[in-house]
Amino acid sequence: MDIISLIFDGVILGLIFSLIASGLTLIYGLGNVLNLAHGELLVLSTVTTAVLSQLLGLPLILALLLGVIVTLLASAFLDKILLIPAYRLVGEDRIILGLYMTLALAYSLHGGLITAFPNAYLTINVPFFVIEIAWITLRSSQLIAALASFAILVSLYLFLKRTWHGMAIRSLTQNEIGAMLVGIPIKKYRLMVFIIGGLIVSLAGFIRSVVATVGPESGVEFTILGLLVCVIGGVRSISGTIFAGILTGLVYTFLIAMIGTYLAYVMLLVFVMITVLVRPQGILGERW
Amino acid sequence: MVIEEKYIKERSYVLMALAILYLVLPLVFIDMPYVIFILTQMNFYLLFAFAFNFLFGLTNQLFLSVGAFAGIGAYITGILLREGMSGPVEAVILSTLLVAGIGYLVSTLSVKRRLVVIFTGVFTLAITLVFTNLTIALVTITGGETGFRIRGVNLWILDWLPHNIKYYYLSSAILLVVTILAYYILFYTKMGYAYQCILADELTAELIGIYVQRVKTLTGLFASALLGLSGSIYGLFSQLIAPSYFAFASVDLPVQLIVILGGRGTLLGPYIGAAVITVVNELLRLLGPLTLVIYGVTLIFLLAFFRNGIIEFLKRNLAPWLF
Repeated sequence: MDIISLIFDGVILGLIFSLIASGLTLIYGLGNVLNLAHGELLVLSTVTTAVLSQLLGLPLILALLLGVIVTLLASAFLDKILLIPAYRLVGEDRIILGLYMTLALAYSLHGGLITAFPNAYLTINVPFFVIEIAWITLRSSQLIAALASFAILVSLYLFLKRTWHGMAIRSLTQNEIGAMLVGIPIKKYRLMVFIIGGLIVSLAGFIRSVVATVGPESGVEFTILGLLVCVIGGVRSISGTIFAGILTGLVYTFLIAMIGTYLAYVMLLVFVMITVLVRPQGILGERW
Repeated sequence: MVIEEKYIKERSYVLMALAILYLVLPLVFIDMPYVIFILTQMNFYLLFAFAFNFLFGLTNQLFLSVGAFAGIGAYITGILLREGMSGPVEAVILSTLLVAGIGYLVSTLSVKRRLVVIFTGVFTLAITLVFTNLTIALVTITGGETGFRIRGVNLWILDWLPHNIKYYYLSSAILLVVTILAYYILFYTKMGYAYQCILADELTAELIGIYVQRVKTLTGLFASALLGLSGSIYGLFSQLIAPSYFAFASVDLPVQLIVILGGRGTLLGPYIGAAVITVVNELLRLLGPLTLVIYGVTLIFLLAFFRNGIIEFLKRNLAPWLF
């Protein structure tokens, strides 16, 4: 495998990491809940799409749409019903209860999905062509995945930076009480953040299934990788998360090629542990 | 120095009843090796839960590496025995000390770096994942995904007992010693006061002069030692040492459930939690992966409506002398 294609694979993987982790970051920043069911939300949408398009024979576009809708409903359920007891608490108690609640949801979703739909693997086939620029060869699936995730990340960034809603979300993240004092409705924005996170993560699932296959059992893995990226980038910084995602994807891909999957994962974990100890605010700090 | 004299009689009765129950229970099921096997397994999970309860329930250190610490103990003991480098007792002692050291280090790091609960959780979760992946990757040492077997460990006087009962009584003995020790520490020493203060409010505890950091790191040390000890004996008991035995889903998850169901920071809580979980687990065994769904949904409902656990509930409504 030559280096150029490794770089490209790494960047795509990293962009997908960024997509998953940015949802985690947003939800943690605003709701103070570390959503451990985030990867399961991703799998929920791919499994729904796979079941609808393969078993029921729906057209792919419709199945994708329904997959997104199911994930959005699950995120809304998470925010509006499941986390009610957590929102009644403050500070560390809320974080711990949120952690346990989402962990419990993650395990029930995981168990349910692998029992009910053990064969719901999703692979999205895009028209195949190859682009050659100078000495670089790109497959169409890679190009589409890279462009789509880049577009999503840019629009997320612009949404947070340029729109009024984005500003409100950032203010709630920085100082919840201050933001509430100037009249920003926290419940509305919390739901919005959960919906955005759900949307992005289900799109990340589809993008992942353009370049690879996503199975019903992979939710835990996605959650953990998203969490690791989130920690490296800083749990409150979107730009840090995006940067950390791409960096992690690149480094991880190279490490896998050099020392194998398990040891690469171990190296990544050790790096995360060092980050937690040395720079708990993330590599870019608390900057947006 | 006796701190709480009020319910001393009731409490010592409970402890005695517990000891007698543990002594008699296997004799009732002597013809059913499977039940004794399950009881022994429950004992080990109870030990893990005890350690986790001390870490998380009493000092608010969210260690998500219970399985990994127990697993390190089991692997070290197993490898030492397999290579014939030491006898079983030395191996168990060595792995206990090693895991205690690791736990102390982790606890000290998290206290000194003033990590918030969630970062301690992430840090220890990373330890769990490192452990699982290393044991799978280092095939020549650990036997990879399928692990390795250890057989014919001799335990001197206990050897005339059948395999299951031998480990049942060994684990019960450790469990009772730990319970009584914990009981003594919690209700008869200044350390017990310190725990109660930290449980109520960490900052205030620090302000009135309790050396919170020291209490936390010492708890980390002893809880990890307990994990290493019970983990390495658990390895001897199960005779097969494989990564899946110590994975997050097979140790940490049930342990959290046991502690939350029974009651965080209580001594009898893990006993009740473990009994309930074991019975439920046996009833649901046929369902396979669906048990995860039931576990998850149960946990959600427990957290939403019954967060303080069974013991707190009983304490408030029925028997204020429970502990």
